[in-house]
Amino acid sequence: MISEWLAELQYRLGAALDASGKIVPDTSWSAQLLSSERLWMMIEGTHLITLMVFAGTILFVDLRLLGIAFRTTPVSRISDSVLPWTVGAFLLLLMTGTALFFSNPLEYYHNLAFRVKLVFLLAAALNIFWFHLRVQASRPEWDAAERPPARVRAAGATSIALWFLVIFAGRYMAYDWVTCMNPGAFVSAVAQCDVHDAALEKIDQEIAQ
Amino acid sequence: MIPARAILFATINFRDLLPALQGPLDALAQVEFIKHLNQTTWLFAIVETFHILSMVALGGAVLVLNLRLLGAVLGDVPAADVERATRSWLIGGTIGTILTGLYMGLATIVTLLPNGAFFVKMIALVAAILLSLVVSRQVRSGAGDSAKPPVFLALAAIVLWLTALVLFALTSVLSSGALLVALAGFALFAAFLSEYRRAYLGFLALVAALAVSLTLTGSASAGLVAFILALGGAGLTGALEARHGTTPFLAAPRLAAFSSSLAWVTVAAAGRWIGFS
Repeated sequence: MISEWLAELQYRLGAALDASGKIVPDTSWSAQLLSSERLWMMIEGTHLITLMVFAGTILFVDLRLLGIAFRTTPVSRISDSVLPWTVGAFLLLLMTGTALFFSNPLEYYHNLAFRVKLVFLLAAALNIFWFHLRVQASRPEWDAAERPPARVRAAGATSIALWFLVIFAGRYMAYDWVTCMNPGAFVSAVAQCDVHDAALEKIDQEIAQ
Repeated sequence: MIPARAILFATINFRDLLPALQGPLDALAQVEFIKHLNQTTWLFAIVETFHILSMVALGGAVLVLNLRLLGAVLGDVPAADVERATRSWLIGGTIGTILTGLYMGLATIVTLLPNGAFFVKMIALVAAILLSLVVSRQVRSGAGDSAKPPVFLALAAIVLWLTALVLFALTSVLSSGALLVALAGFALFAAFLSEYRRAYLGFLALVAALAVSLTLTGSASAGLVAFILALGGAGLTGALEARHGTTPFLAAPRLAAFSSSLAWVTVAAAGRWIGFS
């Protein structure tokens, strides 16, 4: 269901139709974005540079939670001042990431590394919620502590580990062997390549040859 | 006749500027340990991931300290404390980036030597490291707004930034990088402004939107139009700030932090564009 919808998004949305109502290949908005020499590179370049701002700033907030950096500065002063940059960068990452996903949605959805990345992103989001709901409530008690309590340090370490894994998985998305192009048994099962192939076959019948 | 842009692209790279490098580096690339990396996809991806992670540590350290000096974050934390907290990450990140970069670079040296983006990246890297050292030293020595601004290094960073812009703009496969590097540089300029910062950033956002829409319509001069408009905006707000602002416009820590950030942005963008060219 999702795959068929993504196939429509990738191949039909914005595409030209020939006289018989079939889709003219490589004319959809996704195809145009993917093949655009300048725009795609600019979005991808922005995504990577913004990643440095996002990960670089959250790193120092997490290092403070761990009691490794800025030990004599209260946690609140670090997070109140630095986190707005992290959040701003994350919003830009989301925008550029969504645009990059839109350039090849069906293939990314059935990319093993992309799925792994989404799982870690979700885990990172849960860690943030857990921190804000449970850990931060007692902040006045440990705000100025050089070495915050174990649960605070655990949240900081989890955050660093999860963002590391998100970046790691993101880098692997570029490789063919995590896609449904020529998958091994494991990739095929986790990335649901049978569903991918069925969606591709269905939309293929609607594309002019 | 060979077009001017082809001549320029053919000239600004290590293969043509330093042909003597080719032989020894090619021989080094044949060493089993290095050849293995180039032939093992998963290993290359791991080394590249650590390259990116080292850049995150390095970028974070540079960013947090520079933003502090530019007055954008941690205003009530002494600059010396921020420098001390970020120092080991700056050094560790720089060493990690260079070691992983060297390993990957030697493995793919055949493609890097003729690459214009690689040339820009290497030159900008040297400038960026020097500028970061200047920033750290200034903070450690307690130099305030009255210290002598590092004008020479700042000019070097601006010249490198412009060189990267010209090189990107004149090379068809790299041209979109010019717009990104230009916008990043102009966004950094906002740090010099206080009273006119919001107006300038708003104007810059409009310029970016205009550039993207011109790019979408296939205009070849989108980058040039954006550059001229942004330069005009920066010049105007800079002049207004210098006349009406309350803090010294080109104070030493600010100029050093701006130049260092600009050089690191050039390094990062040129690095990404190596893969595109």
